[in-house]
Amino acid sequence: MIREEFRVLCVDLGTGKGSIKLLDGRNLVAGGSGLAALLYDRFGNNDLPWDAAAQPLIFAIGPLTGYFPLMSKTVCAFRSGYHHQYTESHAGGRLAHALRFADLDALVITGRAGRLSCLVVGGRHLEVRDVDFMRGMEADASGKLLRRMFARGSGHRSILRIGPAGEIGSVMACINVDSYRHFGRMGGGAVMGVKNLKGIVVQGDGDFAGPAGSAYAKVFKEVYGQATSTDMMRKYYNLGTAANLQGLNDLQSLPWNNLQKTSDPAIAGITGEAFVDETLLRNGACSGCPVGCIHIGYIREKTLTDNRYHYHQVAYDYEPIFAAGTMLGVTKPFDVLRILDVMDKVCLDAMSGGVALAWATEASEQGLVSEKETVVRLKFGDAVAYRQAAEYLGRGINDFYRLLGMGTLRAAAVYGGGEFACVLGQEMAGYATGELFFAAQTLGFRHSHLDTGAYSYDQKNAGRDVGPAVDFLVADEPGRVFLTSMVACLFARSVYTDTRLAECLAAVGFDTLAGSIPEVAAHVRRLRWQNRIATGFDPAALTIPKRFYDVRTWKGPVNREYLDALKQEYGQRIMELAADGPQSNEGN
Amino acid sequence: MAVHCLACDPAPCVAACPTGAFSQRPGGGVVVRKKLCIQCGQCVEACPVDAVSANRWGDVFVCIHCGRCVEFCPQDCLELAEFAGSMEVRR
Repeated sequence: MIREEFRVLCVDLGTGKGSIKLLDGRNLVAGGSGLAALLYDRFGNNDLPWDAAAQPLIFAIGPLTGYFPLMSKTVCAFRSGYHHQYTESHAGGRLAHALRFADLDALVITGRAGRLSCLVVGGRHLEVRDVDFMRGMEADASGKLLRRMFARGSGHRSILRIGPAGEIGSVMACINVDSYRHFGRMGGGAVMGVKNLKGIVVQGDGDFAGPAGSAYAKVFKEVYGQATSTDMMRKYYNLGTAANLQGLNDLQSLPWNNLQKTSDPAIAGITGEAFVDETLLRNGACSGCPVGCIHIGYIREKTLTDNRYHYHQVAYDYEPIFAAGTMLGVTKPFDVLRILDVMDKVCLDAMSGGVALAWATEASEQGLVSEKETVVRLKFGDAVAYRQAAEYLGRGINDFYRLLGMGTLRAAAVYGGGEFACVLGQEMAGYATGELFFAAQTLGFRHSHLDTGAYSYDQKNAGRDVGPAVDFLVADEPGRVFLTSMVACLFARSVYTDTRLAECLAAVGFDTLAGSIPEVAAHVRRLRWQNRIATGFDPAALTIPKRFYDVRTWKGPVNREYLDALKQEYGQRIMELAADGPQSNEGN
Repeated sequence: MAVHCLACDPAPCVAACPTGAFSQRPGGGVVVRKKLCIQCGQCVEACPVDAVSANRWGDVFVCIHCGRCVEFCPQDCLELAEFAGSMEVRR
């Protein structure tokens, strides 16, 4: 339902009770990223650690969710156990629409359940159910059970769950959303784990009248046409993001074998075409998306007797393939999917897990760790070993894997090998495009490569001029912040220009917001950074491991002076941005 | 999905039983004393995985981890194993 106030359900897991709050601030923070920052400002406690029961776990959608195509994502915000700072993770699936049709702009979860529990919310429903029998249960089995237990609202229902990784508090633990999407990085799964929250079921069981007037139908039709009848989105539904594997390898920008190299002829085995030809079973889409970028492959598992098989469906994308494929030297599509399948089951973020295991492999090669720590012998290209290691990491079977699950640099601090830990603020994303991306990922607000356009800038600019490069990052950020406040899929950023977003907002009645996009974007950016800085962000404290200075891209070797200057300048500009303007939320 | 008792501890079926017919079995699972059962069916409702069922006369049946189903699964999907050796039920 369209309303100026934010309608927020706050649930205390300790009591099992909730309350509906109507909050002002629509014209200051819009929704999504802005709403999450506002809610963290209100409910977060910067004096408490990330795993304190009182800390909030926030899910927020935007003003256009449910009204326009590809407004299909949800922002999950929390204080991360990874760096102990405020963070955001985004996911698709059915969650955004389920929240919209439960008539909620946001869900805020505080407290800790007495026993492992599942939270169920709907338009007229709130329940915290004991599911202690699901302790240790993997994501796929949990999903099957939760679908059976909470059958109501099927088709309009979203099911989130964690696996063993979240239950043990690994900060590489993700939250599985509707089987094939994830709140992947920064340890959202661990936040659920410390809250004793195995699952969240959101039933989008409401029904609303559409926006009044003819403008809405007209704008919707235009947006829908752009998304489906032009080539703007074709790359996402054809080969999908996996199409980038060949291109980035050609550009010497694809991390291989723990970033020991950025290109390898073995790419021929795991291109987007190879995945489609060999493994693609079907495609899927998030609710509200007419494009359908989700590519779901399959793996076969032999049962105990000969020639009896069952199959698992495993979603793939460019970056999980980088993490479980090229980064580990694994070059067969089915092998990559088998590793991803294990990570999915234990709910280990694929990118964090892959990069961590790549470090563990090189540390093994150098004798810094032995099979006493890794249990299984790790070797680049050995997919069977990586399947085992992924499960050990997700379940934290010994001290080594428990420590590694708290971050590669934490393990490197004990065992050595920090110089080849591929960590840029967090385990790296799959883009070794050059200096600007390395600097931007180290300092950028989110972990996602889509947080900035740095990876794209690197691919188009061979120069080493610090000023224009940082100006580009600073100028590029507000547009992305506003999109994540809507909360649009960032694949649709070419469709949703500021002009188009203003038309969409006006068409559903948010005229004031439609007329103040630049101001709101700047305000939300500032608010997010203020939350991050208040929880400990310090650009000077972040270092870039030696491995990144040894990288060679299409531009040649990484230039140390340029990279250091970018990091210094971008860090300074971020601190200036956060300091510029009011220090507390005016909307509160 | 195979229907079998997950050996909840504490078990919701035991908590739901008003006459003490269901009791927790040491080492996992439940024991049902038919003589104490009044066929109220609350155990059926309480089981989160539908592993307790009732016939038309209200007699209840529950998985007792006997393992008989293992040899009859045509796809060999089932096995009977000790908890201690399984990572999937690590507690």
